[in-house]
Amino acid sequence: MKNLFKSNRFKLIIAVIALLLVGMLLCAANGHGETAQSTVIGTIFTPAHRIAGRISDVLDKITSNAKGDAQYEQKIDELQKELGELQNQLADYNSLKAQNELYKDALELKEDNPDFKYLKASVIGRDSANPYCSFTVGKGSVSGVKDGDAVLYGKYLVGVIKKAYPTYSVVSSIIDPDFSVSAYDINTKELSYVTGDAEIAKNGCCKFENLDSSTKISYGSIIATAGISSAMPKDIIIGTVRDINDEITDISTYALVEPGTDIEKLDECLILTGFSPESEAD
Amino acid sequence: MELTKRQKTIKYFCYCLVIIIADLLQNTSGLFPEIFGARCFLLLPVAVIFAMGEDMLAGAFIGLFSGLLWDLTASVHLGFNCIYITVICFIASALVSYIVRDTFVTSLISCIAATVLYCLLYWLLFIVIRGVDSAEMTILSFYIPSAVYTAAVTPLLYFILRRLKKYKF
Repeated sequence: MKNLFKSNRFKLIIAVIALLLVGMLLCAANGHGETAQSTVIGTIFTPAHRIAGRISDVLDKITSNAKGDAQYEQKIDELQKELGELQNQLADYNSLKAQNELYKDALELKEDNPDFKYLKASVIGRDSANPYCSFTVGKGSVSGVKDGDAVLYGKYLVGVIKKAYPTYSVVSSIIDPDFSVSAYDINTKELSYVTGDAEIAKNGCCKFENLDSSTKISYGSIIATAGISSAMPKDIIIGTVRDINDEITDISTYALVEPGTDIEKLDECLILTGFSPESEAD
Repeated sequence: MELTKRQKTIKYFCYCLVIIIADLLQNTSGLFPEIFGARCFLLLPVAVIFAMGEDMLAGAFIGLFSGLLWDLTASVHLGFNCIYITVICFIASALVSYIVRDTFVTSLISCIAATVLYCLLYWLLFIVIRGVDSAEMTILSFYIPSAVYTAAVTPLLYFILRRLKKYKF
């Protein structure tokens, strides 16, 4: 055993671990949250994850067909689209009613903001140790993706780019407790913020919190981004209120928000690039 | 009998292939079943089982490779998986070199210990220290079930990987 600590192999292993630790400390210190080895290895192995993602999709379709629920899935998709359309119409209606010229429907974001660019990306992996549905997409900084870009599915917000590597990016979902974005209810115009919570994340929901105890937000209210001091544009739909509860720790109230789409089952998404708070202010 | 250089190359190539498959199964949504939200951390037992039959340097590099792959999809890591699995595999191979034999029981205990410690450390470093509300819920609803799930799969993995480890390349 004494020889172990004197051997060259032991010294080499310690040197490797020390290098990794130095890399870890450096990236922690400069706030990048990414290590050099991840960038290099990720560039090599991203295609493998993409192929695995495709295999997963094919297997999913095969099992769905075997179960005979393909028709139901089609129907669910249609209904979800219909629901999205109806929610958009309601958002439009409220917007016009309030004569708020600044309100823009999430679907019309691109028309209203010519600078916005949507980048279609496939979901190629997820962090199995992270219970908050963070996932990896197959587009990175070489495609114009940068940290903090909004990630959408249709008209719904599903997360933000946490780290953009050259050929892939890690997305933090809206149910992650690290995620926080200013938001408002399109009916009552109550303004607060949406964040994740460890307890409710297991149900796939997030919180619209810090609301007044006399809040008028109710079941079915639509919550959208408010676009305040953030890289997130205004009026992207986050989800629908499913419940209103009192906080245990203070006198405020929070709304349980169900995201517009099942984040865990996403296989494709849109990344909103080319947005900056300054461009929206203009 | 000592393997020739060619045999060793083929062996490590096969090991790398198995580790890549384990990584893809683990980190691709829908490829490996989740049980009531619990996920199987396949890479940990695979890396430890491989490392236990190797010398310390090879064991550490098996861990390094596994950790690098896992870090690609990690949302909060700073190279945590890389460092953790390298250290664990080094310890596992050192144990076999100096203290214990590479048997089913020692492999099982090592894998379970590595998984439980991983879950605990991940939870402490990336959930508790980050100040996530209701952090205790996460360990009860996700990390402990995932550790149990991984532990349950480990014997099966051991018997599959043992054939590969004993194969005369």
